[in-house]
Amino acid sequence: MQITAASEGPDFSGSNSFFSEYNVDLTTLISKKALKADNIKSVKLSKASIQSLEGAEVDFSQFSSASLQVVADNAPMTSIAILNPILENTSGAIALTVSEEAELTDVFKESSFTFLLDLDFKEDNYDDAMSISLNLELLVEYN
Amino acid sequence: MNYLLNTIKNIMNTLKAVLFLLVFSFSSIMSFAQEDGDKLIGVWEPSHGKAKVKIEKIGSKYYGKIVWLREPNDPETGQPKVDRNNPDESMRTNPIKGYRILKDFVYTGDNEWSEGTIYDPENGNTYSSTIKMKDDNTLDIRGFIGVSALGRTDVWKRLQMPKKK
Repeated sequence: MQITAASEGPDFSGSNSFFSEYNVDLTTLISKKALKADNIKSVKLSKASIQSLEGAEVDFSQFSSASLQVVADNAPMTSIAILNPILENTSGAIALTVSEEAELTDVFKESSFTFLLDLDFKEDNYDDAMSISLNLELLVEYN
Repeated sequence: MNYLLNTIKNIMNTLKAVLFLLVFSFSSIMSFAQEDGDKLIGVWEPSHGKAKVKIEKIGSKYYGKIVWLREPNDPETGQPKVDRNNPDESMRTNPIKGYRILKDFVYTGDNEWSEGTIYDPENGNTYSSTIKMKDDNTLDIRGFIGVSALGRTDVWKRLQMPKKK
C-alpha cells in the first residue's frame, strides 16, 4: 500500500510529525478476498520505505532519523519501523528497519487509524508544508 | 377542539426548547471537558532533571516525547543516545531524543488522565500510568504494574519560559 503523510510546517530542528489518516477498507486489503474484521488473524508490517512524491522532491539528507508509528482510538500507539541514521546522499526509496514484534492486527480492526512518521530535522525548515510517500508491505493472515 | 390543538402545539414547542437546551448543555460540557484535558499540553520536567518532555495531543489522546536531554550523547559511544534497552531488538537504534515515553493518555475529568503508559529508557520497561495535575504547573505521574497501589509517583514541573524584556 502507498500512502501520503504530511506535515503542516514550519518544522524546527528536532523531531517533527507527519500524519496520514487511513480509513480501513478490508475489502481492498488483499485482492483475493473481501475480508471482514473477524477473518483477520494477524497483520504485520514486512517492508516499509519512504520516498518523495512525484513532482515534490524532498532532500532526505536534511533528516537524521525516521520513526514510523500507528495511532488509533482503541489501540495503543505502536512503533512499527525506524531508520537511524539516514545516510547522506540517500536518494530514491529509503528502506526503514521494520519491527520484528509489532502487531497491526488491532488497528486494522478499527474503522480508521493514523500513520505517524516522525522525522528528525537537522536544521529548521520554514517551508509551509511537506508531504512524503510511505510505501508499506503487509503480511496478512486470515481465515 | 382549537383549545386542544393549541395546548398540544404549546407542549410540543416547550419540548423542542427543552431538547435544544439539553443538546446545547451536553455539547458545552463535552467542549469544556476537552479544553480541560488540553491543560496537560506543554513542556514538563521530571524530578531527576535529566530530560524535558513535550506533551501533545494526537487524535483524542495525549502523548509525551523527550525534546531535551541533559546528556544527549552516550558516554560509551560519544553518539546521540539510542533506545538500547528496548525489549524489541529491532527498535534499539531509535534515538532517545524525540522518543515518546508517555503514550495513550485519556482525560477522565477532575484533572486526571489515565489509561496511559510510561516508558523508562534506562531499563526498557513500560508501566501503566496515570497523571494527576495538582496545580497548573505540577503533575503527579504514577507508574505501576498491575494495580495502581503497587507503583511509584514522580513530580513533574511545567517548564517556565523566561519572560521577554
